Amino acid sequence: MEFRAMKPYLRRILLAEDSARDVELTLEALSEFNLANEVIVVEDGVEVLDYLHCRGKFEGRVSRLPAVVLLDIKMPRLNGIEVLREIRATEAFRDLPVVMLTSSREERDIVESYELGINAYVVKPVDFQEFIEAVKTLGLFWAVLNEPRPRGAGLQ
Amino acid sequence: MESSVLTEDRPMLERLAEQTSTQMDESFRAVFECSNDAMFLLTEHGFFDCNARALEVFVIPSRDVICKIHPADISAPIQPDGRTAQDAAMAHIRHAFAAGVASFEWVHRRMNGQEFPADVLLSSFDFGGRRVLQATVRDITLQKKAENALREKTEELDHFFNIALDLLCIADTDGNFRHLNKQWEITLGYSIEELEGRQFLELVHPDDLQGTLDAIATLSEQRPVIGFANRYRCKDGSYRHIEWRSAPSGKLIYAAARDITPHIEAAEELRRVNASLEAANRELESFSYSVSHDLRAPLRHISGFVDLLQRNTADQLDEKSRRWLATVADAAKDMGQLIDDLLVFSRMGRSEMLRTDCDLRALIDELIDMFTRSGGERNVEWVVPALPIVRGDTSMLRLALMNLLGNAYKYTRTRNPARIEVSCTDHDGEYVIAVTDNGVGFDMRYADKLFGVFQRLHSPKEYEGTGIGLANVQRIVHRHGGRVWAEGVVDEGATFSFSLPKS
Repeated sequence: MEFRAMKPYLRRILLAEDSARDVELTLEALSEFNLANEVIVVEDGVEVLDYLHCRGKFEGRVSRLPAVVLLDIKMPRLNGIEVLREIRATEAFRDLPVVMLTSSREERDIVESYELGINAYVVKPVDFQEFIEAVKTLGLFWAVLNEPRPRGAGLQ
Repeated sequence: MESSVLTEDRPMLERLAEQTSTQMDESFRAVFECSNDAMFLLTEHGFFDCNARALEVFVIPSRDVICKIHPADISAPIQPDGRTAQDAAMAHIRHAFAAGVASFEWVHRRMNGQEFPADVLLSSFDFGGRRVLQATVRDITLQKKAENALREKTEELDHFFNIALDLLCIADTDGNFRHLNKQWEITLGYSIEELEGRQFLELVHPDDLQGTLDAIATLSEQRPVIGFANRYRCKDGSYRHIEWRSAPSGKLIYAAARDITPHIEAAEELRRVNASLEAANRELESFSYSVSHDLRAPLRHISGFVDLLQRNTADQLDEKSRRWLATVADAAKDMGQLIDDLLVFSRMGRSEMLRTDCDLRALIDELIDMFTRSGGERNVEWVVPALPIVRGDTSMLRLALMNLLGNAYKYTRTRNPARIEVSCTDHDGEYVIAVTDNGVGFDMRYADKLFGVFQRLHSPKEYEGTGIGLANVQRIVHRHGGRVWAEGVVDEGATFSFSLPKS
């Protein structure tokens, strides 16, 4: 895999996860492919929005959209589904890739996520090896392979 | 024959008999003789003349013996009122002389012994200076028979009316109760007297008044009313639900009704039970939802960190420790499988069934394809005939078939070739589908454990599984209205069958 040589920087992954254990597991999985240092971890939906809007805790950061937002559903304050709704309601974030990475296989969560415009819905596998594969695939695809829409460009 | 005519009276009667030719003119004699009724002339001592019909009716040999006969001789010795013929006859005769006429019912006896009921008319008149009586006897046997038949029928119908367990009622379109049977007393608590002649609308629940008036209007148009229900107020103030079947006849209404209060109450109870079941279902749903998140997360953590641990310490641990770590990892995996199975099981019970036409053959082909692709190097002979289209929930049936075929596939692992055959027989009103394999089979003694939740007949070491597959199959088949059963022979194979009703 020589993608790194072709790109000047790896774009970031925004990970929203309230469980410290899950954060550790996810970072370990991402580190298998050296994506770990490009991950921003926030604890809940409010912080996701703060990051994207460069406000609150993230006041003054360079406004650069992450390559992908990995959302858990069950989080305090604002949960994954509510965050997704907020994100899609904001013009600037309409195309932002958002992936639900969650334990829930409940039909209503899946349906609602797609209704609100999720890009992908991944159920966290119990088997760690499978989990590593899933996270690697997501990271590789969104943070490396996928070409995002250029900022400010629209159809004339 | 015994005669009640006193010997000393006979001469007098014979003299009177002789006088009949002179005392009765020809036209009177003609009328007397042609009468269809038996007629006699008599005094209180006995008869002295009679007409031809009398001879016939009473089987009297000839007119010559008439003076030897007294009314009592041609009567039933004891009359229906209990009096002797002599006493009763005398009473009537005296009354006839006194009042001029007497009319009464009597039981006569012919001279051949045969008794018959009669209407008797006695009238007194002057016969050559002497007061005598003319008796006209009309045989009312037929009349009596008709009267009895009518009375029996009336009694029978009255009995039926009163003994009937339904509420029977004759009313009219002006709103009056006319005639009610005893059942009304039991149902409403009023006496029949309190109800008959009363306006029934007074007793109808105010909310049902309009409906009742509409029903009366329909009946006025000579159209029957079936299945109409309203509430009636009982004597104690409570209301009972009454359901009517009414047939109109002019202004009258002939109705049979039933107290359906218990039915209404049962329906209410059913609604209540349903509502609480819905609530219980919703609770179960949210429980499953939490399980989905809450149990899985710690499980993933156990799995994940054990895996990381295994990677980190691969060369640092002795064999035993490595084995124990692996055991922890496997145990976590088993728990994950259990949770997933349990969730599927609970979803099977809760979810709505979507009834469509299911192509069983297509489902099975799809499943066989899946097994073959994931199965690796195995020699499996699948035998599947043409299968009917059945009415059911496709995803549920797919799961059931997946479990059955999956089991067959699993338990024929040691066979080369493994042979799995699906069959379908058409019984009256249902299809019976069976999956037969040549696998390890099972001991029929434990057959009833097969379909229990988490029940297994083999250890996980021999054959993996949580023991929920067949429980799911049973649940699914039952929800479709069918039955499941199994037959097996140890080390020869097994057949699992289920029925599906055709509609």
